[in-house]
Amino acid sequence: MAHSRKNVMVIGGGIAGLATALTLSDLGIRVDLVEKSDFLGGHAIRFACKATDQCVKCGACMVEEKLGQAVADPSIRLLTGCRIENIERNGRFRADLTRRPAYIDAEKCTACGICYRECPESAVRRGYSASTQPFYAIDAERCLQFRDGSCQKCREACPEQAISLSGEPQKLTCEADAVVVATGFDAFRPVSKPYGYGRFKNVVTSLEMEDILRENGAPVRPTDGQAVRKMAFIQCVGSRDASLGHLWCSRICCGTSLRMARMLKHRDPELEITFFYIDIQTFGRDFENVYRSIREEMRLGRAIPGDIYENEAGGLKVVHQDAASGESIKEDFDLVVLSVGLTPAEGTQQVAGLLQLRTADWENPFGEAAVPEGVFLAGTVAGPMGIADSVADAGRAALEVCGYLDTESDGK
Amino acid sequence: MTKETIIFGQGFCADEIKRRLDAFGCPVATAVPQRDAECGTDTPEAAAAGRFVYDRLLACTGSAGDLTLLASVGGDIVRRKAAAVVLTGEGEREPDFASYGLPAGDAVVSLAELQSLSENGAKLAARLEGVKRAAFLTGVAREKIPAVCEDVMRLAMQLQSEHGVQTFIYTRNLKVAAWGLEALYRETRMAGVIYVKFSQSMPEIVFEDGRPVITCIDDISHETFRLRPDLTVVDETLKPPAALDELAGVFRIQRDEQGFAQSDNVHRFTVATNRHGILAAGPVRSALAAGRHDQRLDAANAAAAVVGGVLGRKAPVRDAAEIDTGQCVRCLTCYRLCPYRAVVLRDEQPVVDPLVCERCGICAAECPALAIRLPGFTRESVGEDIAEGRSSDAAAQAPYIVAFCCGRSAVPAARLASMMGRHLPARLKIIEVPCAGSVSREFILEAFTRGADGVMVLTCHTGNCHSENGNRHARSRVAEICSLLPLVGIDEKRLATTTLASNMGAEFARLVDSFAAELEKLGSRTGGTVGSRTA
Repeated sequence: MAHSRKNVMVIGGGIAGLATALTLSDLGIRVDLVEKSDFLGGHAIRFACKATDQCVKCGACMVEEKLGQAVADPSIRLLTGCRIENIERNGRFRADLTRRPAYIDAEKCTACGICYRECPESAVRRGYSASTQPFYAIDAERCLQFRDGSCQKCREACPEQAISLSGEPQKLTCEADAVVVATGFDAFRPVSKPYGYGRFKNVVTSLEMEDILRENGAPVRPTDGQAVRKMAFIQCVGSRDASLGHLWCSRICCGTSLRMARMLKHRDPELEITFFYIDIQTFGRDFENVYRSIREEMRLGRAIPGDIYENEAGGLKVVHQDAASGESIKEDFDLVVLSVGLTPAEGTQQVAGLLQLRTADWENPFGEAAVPEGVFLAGTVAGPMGIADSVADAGRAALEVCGYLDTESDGK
Repeated sequence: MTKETIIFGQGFCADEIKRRLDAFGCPVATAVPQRDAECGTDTPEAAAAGRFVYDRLLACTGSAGDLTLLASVGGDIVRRKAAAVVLTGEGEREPDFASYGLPAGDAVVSLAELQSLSENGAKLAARLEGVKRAAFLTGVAREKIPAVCEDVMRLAMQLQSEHGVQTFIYTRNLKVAAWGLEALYRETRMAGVIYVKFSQSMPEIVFEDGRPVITCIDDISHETFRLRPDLTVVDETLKPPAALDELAGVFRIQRDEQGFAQSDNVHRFTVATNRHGILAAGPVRSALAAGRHDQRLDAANAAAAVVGGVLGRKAPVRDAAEIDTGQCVRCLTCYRLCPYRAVVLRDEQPVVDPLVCERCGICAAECPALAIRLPGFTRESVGEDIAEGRSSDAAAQAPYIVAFCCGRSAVPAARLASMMGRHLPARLKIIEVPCAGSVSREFILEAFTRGADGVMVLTCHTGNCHSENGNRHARSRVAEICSLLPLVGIDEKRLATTTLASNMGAEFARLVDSFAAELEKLGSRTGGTVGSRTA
């Protein structure tokens, strides 16, 4: 099995793409890992560690570890900031890519963060992983310089002259013997739900809560930066929702939010937490014990709240059914976290069009995916799953790619 | 060197692994204990049929790609080579009868039993004769997994739509966190299956006149439901198979608290164990891997590990731990503690197998005879590093902090803190260690000797150590030294240990900053015989 000359294009640099690339590399196969954003790691690299006095197996550190391994792996070519323009198939795959200019020179950047602080438009974005090079990136869509040529503050402030606010996109070609589609998911945007998301700053999504925790190490109110005393989690926002046609459980939200809630409670035993849910899903091997602790540590409310208003003090008033009495009540909270579900990624459509593949229909999970020969799916592109399952699915995909390359070699 | 993989255990996952490995031309043998084998001893015929029949398994030595299994076969000791070993097989399903206080009988049946009947429509119809109402109890006494819930929903659906039985599913939390189960849930409700959920109160189950009577308050409607079903179906809890006790002992693998064949450690994702070349797949590694889909994934990952490990590239050569045989007193502490089982006995002398060693340094730190060293990581080299960090800005007033940081967690967290622009103490010396378990008592004392005002040992979280227990070893050493420090005139607050993850940049900064503030309060260190050499 001499695969060292074989090359596989993995589309998507989230946890599934990273894990697929690493397993392929273990199997002696070279990889081009194509990622549209400036940073590797997808959604999962944003996740905060949820350990209490012990590891709770959330898997966030595994994403960090795999990202570091991929960056260090000479068999994996990392192509961030890339758009796939076209894929031709003539035996092998040939993809034309456009790569955005690197406005920040990775060689020169020392991650001092001056550009990040200087930018008036928050157009300088920061990475999440210590393995990310460069650690900062410029979002050309927000940057004033690209809009009207009016601002060069970051470039002027950079002590290393690492920033250039011009440059032409680079054209690249990927030749591949097989393609793995690991384009992931989009988090549900809860604007259509009656929770005031987008209007009330103290209503945040679970992903935004991860960011708050990564930044502060503690829950603070977005409105005033004050410590949170009383908070609520609302589960199944965008999941198990027939009115949206979302007939799926997103699988990760109970685990993520309950681990987060327990971690917050561990760090601040005074914090009051209410958890609104439909059914609590099992996560982790010792769930029986965890579930027992959860019932002691927080209030559980089996009913999804109907409405959220802003109260006079800038806090939030949540309308929900009281578990004990069954009555509808209004209750004040400092912060509400919406556990947003997973939905099919919009970006998948473009890639699917180029490859002429059809992923399984999330709304009709019994429908079959139609994937052409030589193309493989890995991770949440095929349906909701968490970090551990994405890693397992990536291992499966890599093995199948390897088997396909074997039969291809035998046939020639 | 053989390329054969030996599979222990049979069933769906085992078959899947064989199918996957066959496709790559990787030879596979199935291990069968003599008591379960219908054929004789380990005959050439059995070997040809891909079987490895043994009376008793005695030991497993070697490293991934070159393992040797020692077994007794028909009174002889037999050596069998293997490239890899996979532990798999079905778990044991234990019906929850006892936790409900229900006896199995005409009116009470286990999920597995009814399921086995369901494969034959006529048999199921016979069992359901006279049954108008059936209740399924799932996740009532103990929380369940989606694989069990799926079985319950499918069976309820079958009873409801094919056998004219009104079915009720009693549960605290319906486990729909698997592909297609929410849609199945909707389908069963459309078919007429009634769900009763509770969380505020538990149902009361009494056994009256040969049938259970279930009374409970539904969470949503707050109505009291009382039901006397003709048939009550009790679900099961998955347990590790009894055969694992022997296998885990022989293979020296770490098990989880429930006894499954893989420790509950993220570093073992997906089918790895603490021992390279020994894999665990399917329900024997975790109840969470019991679903068909999970078993397929496990099988593929086990096959990928075999194909990658055996036929792919070789592991790089590393600077493994070395045992000084002159100094070694053969106490076997290293043999017992090595999490990767890299310490092997050769002519009654423990030696480190460099192909297995992961350089965690636990053996070196714990060796009572100080006979083990990690090349490039010795008391002298670490001491010089610490002294250098101190002298470079010796004029500074700030306390000198030496932080022993695990390379897997605290080092990236420190790097992240600095990249995020967080404030860090002026004189912070980070000593990267391969595992906190390598930070010996000597290292900690050396740091004080070389002029540290405070010493931190920053480890991975409990249960997250790649070397399983390296962080626990580190913590117990710190606790021990803390109790001794006052004897030499050093405040015990000058030595601290905490756990961190690689992505905890903000937390790292806060932690070291507050330690620095604590040291400021204590003032610079003057007393103490340990520090006399640098005074």
